[in-house]
Amino acid sequence: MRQRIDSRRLSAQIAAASGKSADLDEGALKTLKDLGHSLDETLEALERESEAGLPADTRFAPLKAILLRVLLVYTRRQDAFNRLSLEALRKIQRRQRLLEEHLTRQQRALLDLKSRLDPH
Amino acid sequence: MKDLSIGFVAPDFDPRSGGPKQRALSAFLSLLEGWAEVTIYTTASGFRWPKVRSFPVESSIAETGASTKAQSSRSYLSEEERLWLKRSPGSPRLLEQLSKATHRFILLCPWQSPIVFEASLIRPQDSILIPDLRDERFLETSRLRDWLPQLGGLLFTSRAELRLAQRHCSIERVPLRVLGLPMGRSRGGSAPRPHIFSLEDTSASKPRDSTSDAAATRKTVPGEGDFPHSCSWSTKGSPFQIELLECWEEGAPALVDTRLELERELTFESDGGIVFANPAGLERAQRLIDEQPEVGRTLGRQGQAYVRTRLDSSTLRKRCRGFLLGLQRKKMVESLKLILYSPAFLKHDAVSNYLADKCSLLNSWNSTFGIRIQDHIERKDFSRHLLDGPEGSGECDLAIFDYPGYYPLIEGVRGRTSRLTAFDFHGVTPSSLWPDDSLRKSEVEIRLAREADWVLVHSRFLEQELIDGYGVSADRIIRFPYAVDLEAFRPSSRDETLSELYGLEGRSVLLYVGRMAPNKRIDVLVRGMAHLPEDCLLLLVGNLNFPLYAREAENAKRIAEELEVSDRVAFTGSVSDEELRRLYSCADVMVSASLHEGFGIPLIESMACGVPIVGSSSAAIPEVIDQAGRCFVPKDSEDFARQVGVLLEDDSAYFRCQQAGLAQAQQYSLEALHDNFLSALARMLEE
Repeated sequence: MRQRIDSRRLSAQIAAASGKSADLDEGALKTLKDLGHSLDETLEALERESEAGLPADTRFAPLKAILLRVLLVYTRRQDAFNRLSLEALRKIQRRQRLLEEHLTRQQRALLDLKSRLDPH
Repeated sequence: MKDLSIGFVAPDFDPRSGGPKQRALSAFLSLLEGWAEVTIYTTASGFRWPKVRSFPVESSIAETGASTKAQSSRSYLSEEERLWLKRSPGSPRLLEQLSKATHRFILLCPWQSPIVFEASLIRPQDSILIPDLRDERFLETSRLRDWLPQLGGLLFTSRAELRLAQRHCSIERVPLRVLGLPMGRSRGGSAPRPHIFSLEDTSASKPRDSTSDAAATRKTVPGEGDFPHSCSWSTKGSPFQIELLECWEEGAPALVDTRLELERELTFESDGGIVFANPAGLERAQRLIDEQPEVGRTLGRQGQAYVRTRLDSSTLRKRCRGFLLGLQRKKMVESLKLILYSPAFLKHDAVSNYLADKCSLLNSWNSTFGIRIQDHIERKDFSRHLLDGPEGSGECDLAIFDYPGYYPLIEGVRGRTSRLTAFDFHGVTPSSLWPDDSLRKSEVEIRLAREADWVLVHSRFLEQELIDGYGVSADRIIRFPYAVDLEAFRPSSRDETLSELYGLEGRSVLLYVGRMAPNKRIDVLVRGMAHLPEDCLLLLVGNLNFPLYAREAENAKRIAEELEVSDRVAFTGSVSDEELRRLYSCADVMVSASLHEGFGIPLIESMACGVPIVGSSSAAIPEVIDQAGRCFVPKDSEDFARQVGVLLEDDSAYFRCQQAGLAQAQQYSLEALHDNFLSALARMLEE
């Protein structure tokens, strides 16, 4: 057998067939890392931004999806991650909600602006 | 002669117990064998070993109450732990003895003990921790965040462990290295069964009743309290790593619970098993191995190969020694002032990449350095070190001149603006292999090597060329190989996008990477295609924009048409680094017909990716390939095809070369370059 068997791929196939992704958590954290953020940094940045009133730019928009996944994983992986207290989880959820609200506002403002610029 | 004196503090080390943790510790200790003077400090009693200083916890010696140096300065301990320390009479004595001893380094393992915290305070800058990180919960505690950055160094047993630490503590400034637990040779059984590594204490992966045919060996997490004392936190989490490696040593595949983070990462790294996320996944994996024994065998074989190639004890020992010697030499390089000269600083260029490697090493050592480039600066990294203005930027300790060809700045080798000069020789294509006269001067001026105090070379072939052809004296030559980032270049399965793009599905892919220069003789490769089966495809990767290279490519295309193999020869043009890595994943064999190669970086990249090589036996090529492939008679396309045929038809020969390549690639790691460059600097400055 010339080509190797890729454990990651094989595990993912098996996990998909049995209803749970094996490296979901790993993937999410890796994406964060690829973006140059650690989970803690991201949370801290979101915290800061939400405290200061959400910013005009949507710098953290791509992180939204990732955070959702991390959140999912953190709640699911109770064994290793029960270190995240309920309070911390609530905090993340709050940030999540704020972020979503902010994005909706931005989108609405954009649509509004567009309709004013282009009456057709 | 032993290089270093090391105090090894392992409070619960007792090899007689034979548990996994003790086996892991013994394995680690074996890395210090032969070159270090090791004294073990432990609280286990009854040792009869010569170099063990035992301070039994249960001994009845009255409490000394001795206040060690450590206790007076600072402490990371909780009240409970301080109390424990006081109550175990051996511990203060151990700490007292350790503070009196004159070890160059103090190695600490494992960190979950109060003794280790206290021992690290004796001489923080000389304390090297083997963290043995198991669980994110430990890493969360604030004292670790404070503690780890204060230490003199960290030694990890796997990349996954390092990533875990990096996620939780700011250890950017702490010197660290990933080693591994050295493993012996295979103890292979005839039909090894899969081993299951699972967390048992949740319903998610409760062991199923073994109605399955695969009578697998199941390992589960031991309970808490395998630590000889009861402090507020104990080693929850399993010492599986060594058991997983032992499973691969036997050639058995592993089925790993995804929540065992380190084991999961090791499995992904070695491709030695399957990771499952729930009982259904475990069942499915077991069924797969039952039904398709070939999959189980291959996974086991890959795991075994990983243990053999990556955890070879002599390589690991060298890396461990290199790391500690490096720490010792840190002072010397910190005060170093040097200038690096090079003709250009380009993006996709081997010499420029090597220059960047040197710069990042100097940066990590906090050395003062400048870079002086003749022209063509494409890269932005290290731009704050770029020097311009008139030549000679004050006195420096050392000037290193890259020599891939002649450029006016190289004349500085003769000058005396620095205390010492080094000529870093990368090889020059002989002008006899070039269509015009443009390389003539570069070839002649290699003689400048004689003017320098030191000459650096990167292959035995070039070393010999300098000695025989240019009269450079052998005792002034320092040889060490180039490096490749083994994190980036590693085995992976065929990239689907590229496979579709070039129509690689079901075909054997021969890959060539390099310039399309005349001396590379890509025409020989194209001619060889006529002697190879229809399903072979030759993929040529390299820049075609330069007129000379474009001409060579046109010539190769013409030959392919004449021989009616043009549908089996494809040019990709120049590609990004990322795409190059994906191309290696698509390759079955790496090929090179070059007639002059000072080293051949693509050869080591392909080794690191697990792709065997077929190369012409000329210049440095056979020396670099070594066991990782086969050589053919230069310019002989039939012999080329024959050697490729051997690899494609004989699976065991292919596997042997692949594994040898992966093992050889270890000596070309960035860490090896760190050690080699550092010892070269030390030699140049000290002699």
